[in-house]
Amino acid sequence: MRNWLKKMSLMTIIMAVFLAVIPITASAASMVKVTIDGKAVSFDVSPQVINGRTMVPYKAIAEKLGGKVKFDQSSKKATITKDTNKIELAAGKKTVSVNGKSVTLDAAPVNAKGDLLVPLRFVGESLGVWVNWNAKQNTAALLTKKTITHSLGTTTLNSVPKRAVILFNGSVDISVLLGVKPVGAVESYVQQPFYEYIRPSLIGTKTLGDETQPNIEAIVALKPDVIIATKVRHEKIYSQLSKIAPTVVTEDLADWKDNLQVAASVFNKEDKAEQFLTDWKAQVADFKKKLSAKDRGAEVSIIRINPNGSARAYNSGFAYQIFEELGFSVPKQQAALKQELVTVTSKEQVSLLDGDYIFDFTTDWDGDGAIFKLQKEWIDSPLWANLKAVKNKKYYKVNAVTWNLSGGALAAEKMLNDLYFYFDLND
Amino acid sequence: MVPEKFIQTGVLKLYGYNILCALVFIVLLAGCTPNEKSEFSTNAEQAVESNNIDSHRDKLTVIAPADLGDIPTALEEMQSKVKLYKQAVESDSVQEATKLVGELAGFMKAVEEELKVKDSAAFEILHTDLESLITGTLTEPWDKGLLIQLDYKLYQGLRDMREAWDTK
Repeated sequence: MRNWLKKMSLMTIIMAVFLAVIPITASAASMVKVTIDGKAVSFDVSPQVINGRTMVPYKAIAEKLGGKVKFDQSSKKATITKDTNKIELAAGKKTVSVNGKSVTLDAAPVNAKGDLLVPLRFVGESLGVWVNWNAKQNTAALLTKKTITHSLGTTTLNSVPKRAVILFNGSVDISVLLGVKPVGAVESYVQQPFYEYIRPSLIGTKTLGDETQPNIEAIVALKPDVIIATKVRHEKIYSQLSKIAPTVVTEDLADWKDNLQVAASVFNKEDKAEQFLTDWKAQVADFKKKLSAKDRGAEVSIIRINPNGSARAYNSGFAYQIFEELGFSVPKQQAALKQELVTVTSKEQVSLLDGDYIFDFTTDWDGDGAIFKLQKEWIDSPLWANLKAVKNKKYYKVNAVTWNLSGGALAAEKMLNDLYFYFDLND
Repeated sequence: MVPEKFIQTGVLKLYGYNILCALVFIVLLAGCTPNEKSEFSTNAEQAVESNNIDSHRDKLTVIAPADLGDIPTALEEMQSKVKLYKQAVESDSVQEATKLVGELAGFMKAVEEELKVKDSAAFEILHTDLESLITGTLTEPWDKGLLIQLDYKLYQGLRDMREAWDTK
């Protein structure tokens, strides 16, 4: 009996301590800190996590950012004006108005002591500030301006851009992924004005000429508030572009991941980019896990036939980087040349194009089919038939847009999915 | 992208549309074991017997729709079959490839009304691509490169349709 009582007493003490601790840890978990340009700010109404969503006092934040607020106590409706933005929202109503357009929030504003708690993301989207959520520190970091270090220097943006001009195809793809419609963008190489797979999202976007030679006058006319360019294409006109609008220049045309992260940083879409990259990583892991043993490390030759009749093998570039990430190898005879682009001018050298697999994204640049006659000359040549990949029926003609011409994140996703087809994997 | 000339290569001129349609159904029926015969096969038999192939353009017209669940599941299933088709072609399995195009045709019939509503232009492309695949499958000897190109085109089209459906 005594032992039983001792045990019960001990358990009671443990339970009391446990219950005393829980409220403390619960309230600590829901407390959210906010910084604006690195400085902690306090509010009469504390930000908090409600149903797993970070909610912040919108009126107070808008005022701290220099906005003007009118709040109707009876209707619990707020009207905020900041710079050229006008936002109208009301407690309990998910649909709000931003510059006259209806926007649906993830969660309805919550009335809290004369303020309205709104989802954190909405603050950035409506007030033109960058918002980053640090989950470990429970801190929402707001930035009213952002300085971006890029391949040709640094560029400062004074608000989240709304009138973007995009000067290379990979970033046009990325803008679609991030849900940012540019006011202007370069034309696609084929399927003009924009590649078919992204065209529906670019209705209203003005075309600005070719990626290699954008139309400067057309860019000026659009009055952009940011220009996204890439070094290999636009280094020579960077100073011109910088005079038109803040210009951010990415390092590598073909490095879609870096290009995605640069764009996400510019447009306050880092959570979207992070999710995409997380999903990509998982997909790559899935592919590698499912790939048959015989194909692991296989030599993959990536080729096209050029308009002048020569052939090219790629030891660099968009598709190459994806194959490298998936663990495939460069054909030994190509690697030995140490060239990023291997040009093969004679049919007698066709063995340079060989591999365990050959993927061909020959492009019909002019839309007249003439290039395919040149391609047929290669394919019909007797030496072609002797190629290992051809004998093993592993020569494939693939989508030139998503494998080469675009270079964006959505294109990468499609190319990876194509490889489930070519390597006979279930996705 | 498959040049139009490959799709229209002499097959259709050689066989004539009506004869080709009949061949489609006969071969598709031959590909089914008695246990695998479905409503699709029965309809096809009736069509052949009654000579009721009213459209030389649309080889899928008289095919009975497969019994499916929802559209996303159907599209996913079609993509799987398209991948299996590639493997069948690469392993020279005529019977398997023929069976798979028959199954794809049944799936296409089952989803066509809803896909047309969703995106009629994209549906037409898918429909045409499947017709081309059927034609190519029944053509002897096989042009394997062409069949796999057509199959790949169908694979991409189905993927695009799935993505569009997911964002509806």
